[in-house]
Amino acid sequence: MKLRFWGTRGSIPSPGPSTVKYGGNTACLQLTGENSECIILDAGTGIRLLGLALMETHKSLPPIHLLITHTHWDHIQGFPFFVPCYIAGAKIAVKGPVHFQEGKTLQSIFDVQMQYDFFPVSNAQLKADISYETLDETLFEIGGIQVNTRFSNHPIRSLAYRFEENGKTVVYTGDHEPYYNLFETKEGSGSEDDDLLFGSAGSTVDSANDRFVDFIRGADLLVIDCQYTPDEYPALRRGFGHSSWDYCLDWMKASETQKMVLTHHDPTRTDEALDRMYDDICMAAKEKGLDPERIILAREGQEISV
Amino acid sequence: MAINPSEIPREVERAIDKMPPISPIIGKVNQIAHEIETCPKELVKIIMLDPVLTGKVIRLVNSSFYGVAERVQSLPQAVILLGVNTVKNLAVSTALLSTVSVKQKNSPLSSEDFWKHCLASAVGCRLLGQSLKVPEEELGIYFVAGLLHDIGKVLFIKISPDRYKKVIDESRKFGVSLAFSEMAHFGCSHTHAGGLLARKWRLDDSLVTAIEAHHFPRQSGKALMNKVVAIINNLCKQSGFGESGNPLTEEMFADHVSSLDLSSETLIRIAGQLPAEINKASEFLNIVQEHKI
Repeated sequence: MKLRFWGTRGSIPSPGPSTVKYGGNTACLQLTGENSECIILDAGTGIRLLGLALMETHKSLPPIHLLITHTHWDHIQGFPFFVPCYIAGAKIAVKGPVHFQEGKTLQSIFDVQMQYDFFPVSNAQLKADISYETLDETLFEIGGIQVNTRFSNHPIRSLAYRFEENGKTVVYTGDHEPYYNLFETKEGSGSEDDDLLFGSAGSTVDSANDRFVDFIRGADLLVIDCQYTPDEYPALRRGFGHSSWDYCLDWMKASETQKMVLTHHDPTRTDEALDRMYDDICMAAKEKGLDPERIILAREGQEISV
Repeated sequence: MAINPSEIPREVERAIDKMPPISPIIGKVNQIAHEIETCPKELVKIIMLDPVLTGKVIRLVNSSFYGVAERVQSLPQAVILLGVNTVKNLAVSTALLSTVSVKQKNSPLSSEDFWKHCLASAVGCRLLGQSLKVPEEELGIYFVAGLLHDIGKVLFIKISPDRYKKVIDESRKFGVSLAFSEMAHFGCSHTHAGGLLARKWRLDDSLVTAIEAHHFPRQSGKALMNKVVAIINNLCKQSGFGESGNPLTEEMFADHVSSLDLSSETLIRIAGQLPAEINKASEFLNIVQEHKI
């Protein structure tokens, strides 16, 4: 399998001279297996360039499978600028989770993004044959690649994807924060009643985190949300739904992952800051007995094969 | 035989005795529903004040709709796996739904439509209270007043859904008020019966009065809240938010509207804000019905 990064940024596009090296487009990856089908992970602003590239390299477009990790802006905002949407005969299957209790479907969320107040072309006017499917935790196949999904921990319902083909495994976490104990109090400050009520919360957190590690276990390539540094998380950013690199290193070790790509870079992080962050990561990796060469920061345009 | 409205028909009295207690969290629901950040501990403790609600929330969390892989056995576990907001929304909706449910065989009112009317009234009372600069800490009681104003109808439907169907049919056929038709068939009106139930539940006097007076707001007690409930009840009926079985919409209490110095723009704005709340509520109702909870 071959993975190409078309967008590596989290939250909001961050173009400009200070983000040239790692890129300013939001989340979008392209996975190519042995067959000719095109698998796209997330439709952040990076999908615009991917659409143009597909138009340039293909006389007739292959079936497109757009797998969305969740419907926050930075993961769907590029969709209206994805040229294959406007091509009659193009087949695009959009799949992803929908946050509960809002009474919405995946299609209705995409429809809203393209309603007239926001965009001049409505979803219904797109010429491609576009289908929508809501996903939960499930298992399916795309042209010989086994796809497995698992919920991640994010403020809205989000999925991580695991792809397996010919004994090789690629995992993309989408946005994910470690499960944590929301009921934790400073030592001695909780009452006995609190202990009774919330005492088992810790084991719930542990088993949820273990379940996530099991999902990424043995990955040949793990693409993981690493928006924050240990200075920012958990102290300042807990509950935002993203991870910091120290957690990523621990997960890499626990899951015996071969290669890890850190992505979803914070929009405030300049190329220089990311380089500095990478130096810190390498140092910490060595201390944890991990080979720093197996860890990289995602760069727009980069391609990795497994 | 003339019926004295001050007498309580025995069957109504018996029905009141049989009504399950109101959820102890109902007064707090409004508070937590409108907080941007709810403390997870506080949320769990509030829900746990009501063991029936706690059970329902856990059953819902384990339904296939939420797709949680492991069996959830406690509220803290649900909060960790699904997040504070999801569990909060679930608890708030469940508590409100259980309070004004007319889910019963042969019920002349659809559960969904009646709930929509009650919920729209609750949200509307809160919004109008806000417009009238009612202090934030009092808005909760406005919300509950709107939610419970028609609770007397729940009692009548529990006593005899068939007879209440006659009440509605005759009121429609002859163009008489629902209260008049209720008097003929049950010996008292839903406002009277609702007030009695509210007393039995030991709700605040201002709530009892608002329930009793929502068709004829009195100038006593918390007069402002009585007027608000009356105006919003009519606004919901006229705008077609849900269905309360009452074919008549009273005049918009022009004197109340003018005494409160309300502009029609304010009422139109409030009416415009209600559909989103109702849609959210009716989706939740679908989940509950699909999963038979």
